[in-house]
Amino acid sequence: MKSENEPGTDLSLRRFIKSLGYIAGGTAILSMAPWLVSCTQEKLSEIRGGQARIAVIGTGSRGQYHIHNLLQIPHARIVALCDDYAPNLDAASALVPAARRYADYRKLLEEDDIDGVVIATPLNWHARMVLDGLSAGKHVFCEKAMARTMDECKAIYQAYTHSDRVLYFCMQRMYDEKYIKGMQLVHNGLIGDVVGMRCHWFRNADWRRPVPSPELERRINWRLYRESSGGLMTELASHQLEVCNWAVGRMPLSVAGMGDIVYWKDGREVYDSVNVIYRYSDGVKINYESLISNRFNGMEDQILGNSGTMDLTKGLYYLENDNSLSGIQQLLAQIKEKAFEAIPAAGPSWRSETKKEYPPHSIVEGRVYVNPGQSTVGVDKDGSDVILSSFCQACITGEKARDVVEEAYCATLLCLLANQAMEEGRTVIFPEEYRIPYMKF
Amino acid sequence: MIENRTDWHEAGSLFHGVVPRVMGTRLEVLMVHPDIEMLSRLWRDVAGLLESMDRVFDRFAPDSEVSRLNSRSRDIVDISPVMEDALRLCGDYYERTLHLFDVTLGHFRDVTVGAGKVIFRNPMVRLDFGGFAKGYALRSVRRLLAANGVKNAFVDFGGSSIIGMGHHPYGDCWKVGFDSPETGVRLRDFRLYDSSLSTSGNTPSYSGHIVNPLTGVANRRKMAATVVAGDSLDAEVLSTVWMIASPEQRRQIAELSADVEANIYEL
Repeated sequence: MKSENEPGTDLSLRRFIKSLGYIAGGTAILSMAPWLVSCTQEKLSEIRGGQARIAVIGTGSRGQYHIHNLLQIPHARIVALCDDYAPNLDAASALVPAARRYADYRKLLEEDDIDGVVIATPLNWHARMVLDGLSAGKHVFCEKAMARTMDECKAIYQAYTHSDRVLYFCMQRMYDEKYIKGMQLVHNGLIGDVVGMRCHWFRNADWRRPVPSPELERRINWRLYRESSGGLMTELASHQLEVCNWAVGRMPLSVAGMGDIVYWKDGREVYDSVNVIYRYSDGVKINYESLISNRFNGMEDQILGNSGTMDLTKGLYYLENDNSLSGIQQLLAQIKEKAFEAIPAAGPSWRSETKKEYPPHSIVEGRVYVNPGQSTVGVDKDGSDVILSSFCQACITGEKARDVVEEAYCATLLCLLANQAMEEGRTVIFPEEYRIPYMKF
Repeated sequence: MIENRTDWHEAGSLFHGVVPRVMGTRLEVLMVHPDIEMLSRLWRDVAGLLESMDRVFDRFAPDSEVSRLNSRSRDIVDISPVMEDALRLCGDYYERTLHLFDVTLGHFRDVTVGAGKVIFRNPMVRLDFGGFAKGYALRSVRRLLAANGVKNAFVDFGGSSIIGMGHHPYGDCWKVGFDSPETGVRLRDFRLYDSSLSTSGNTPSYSGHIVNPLTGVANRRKMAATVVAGDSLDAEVLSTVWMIASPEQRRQIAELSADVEANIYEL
């Protein structure tokens, strides 16, 4: 791990955008994923030699994960660290000894030599820190979900629309190659009409962190208490709901669900089991399930179309009528048409020889990083490194990333509405007062 | 009986048979002939033949003959007539291919076959009929079809080993295209008339070698080979050999092999 990098252009960002098939001046990818504009080679050359001065607020496990990624980004330099829990601050200082230390984030925001802040704190702190950061003239990168309440989300969204500062939320799937390419295939009609979506996230762990003394319980295990956490919905589902909206380009109109504490009856307040159904205006539904006392099913983000299925988590798709199944099937069809054409050999024996009825096809060539969904901190190459690098670049150019805040707003509201639906035991309609111009229903 | 299924298309006198799992892959046959009774009997024989070949050559089945040979406790072992025939052929190809084809991966000179026995002079020698068995089985399938009067048929073994017997109902041969597994672009069209095509390649599709475009780890060189030959076993053996032979070795081997059209592709 390098503690300091030479200033320069981030090659990994270049490779990322190149791997998506972006040709200088091209627009295909950018019209589909406009937030990637800031990653183009033209934009990257603008910042050559520049370096963003970054502060990290909240240096627990996820904050340290971001620090590791930041240390790999040549156009970023970590200048300050902040946490009010000394062991976490010490751990971060060990990674970046040269960075100044703060216990109060407001003091940190007063410093002039900080361009951007990376916030990885409990959810109920997001709103005030993001708003204070923007007010202090800082560019802000904040962990998902957006905020603990819908009103806080709306306040952030409004502050952002009136600010000239850059704001990112860590919606890393928007920067994950297999998701971007998979969505391009969905939008190009590969799987036909999207008729449903199935997402789930299963783990078998109590989601707890060790607590050195009892008065720290609610601070350290903030994910387990309603005051500071929306539970499985805000911590896990927010990414997956964003993917669903991305696939259909719209927002669901209503949500119903059931949530319970089934297994981890240890004093926690948030559900350890949720089953939620979202309904779009045309009847298409998202079936969402999360359970943290059985991990058999792992994590999946599946887009179901009338002619195929996109399994984004694994980077695979399946076709309902797969003519790659058999050359002879094609021959038979041909002969019935009295046609005489070449049929493709299924290829050399490296191609899946033990074909099943649904042979998988890769969305992305080469190695695919699959997130098994079991880490409670983060995994390599899930887009988190790319989105963070993109943010650091934006700290230099001052250019906002299109759609990222809007997508985070939409996804977070869906999470919070699901919690409301489960708590109240009723179907909740998306409330008018939280609609924003970006939303289509 | 090994798992299989068939369908009959009366209008074109087309008999379609599938064995979905044999020798680690799938075999499909299309036969053009009006006698459905004969074809049904013939298909049962084809399936039976494949099942018996699997019992000889499948090294992942602990009770197969090859597994028995590989876990031998003595140097001299009795073998079946099929195994004896196969090992003799392997010896011929070993010589014809300048030792590039070797079912023992480097130790074939330590193997002697004769009189229903095989003698191993090296206890470490293991047999693997990976680049041989499908071609060998196809050769037998073709003989079986010909002996029953089937003149026009198409046999596809795992997509990588194909026989075209006679011709397509609406053409003068069977046309098969070879597409790049990397790009899907058609690399070559083949016209099979009483001939076989075998393809081979060293590029993985899912399992690993790379390009992680985000870190820029370089790709391994990708290539493929196709061989069309009168005999399906020639095609099978040579397509594998072509992948590892040098240009000079390919030239020498080609001189030893009549009725063979071999190609190599940089992908």
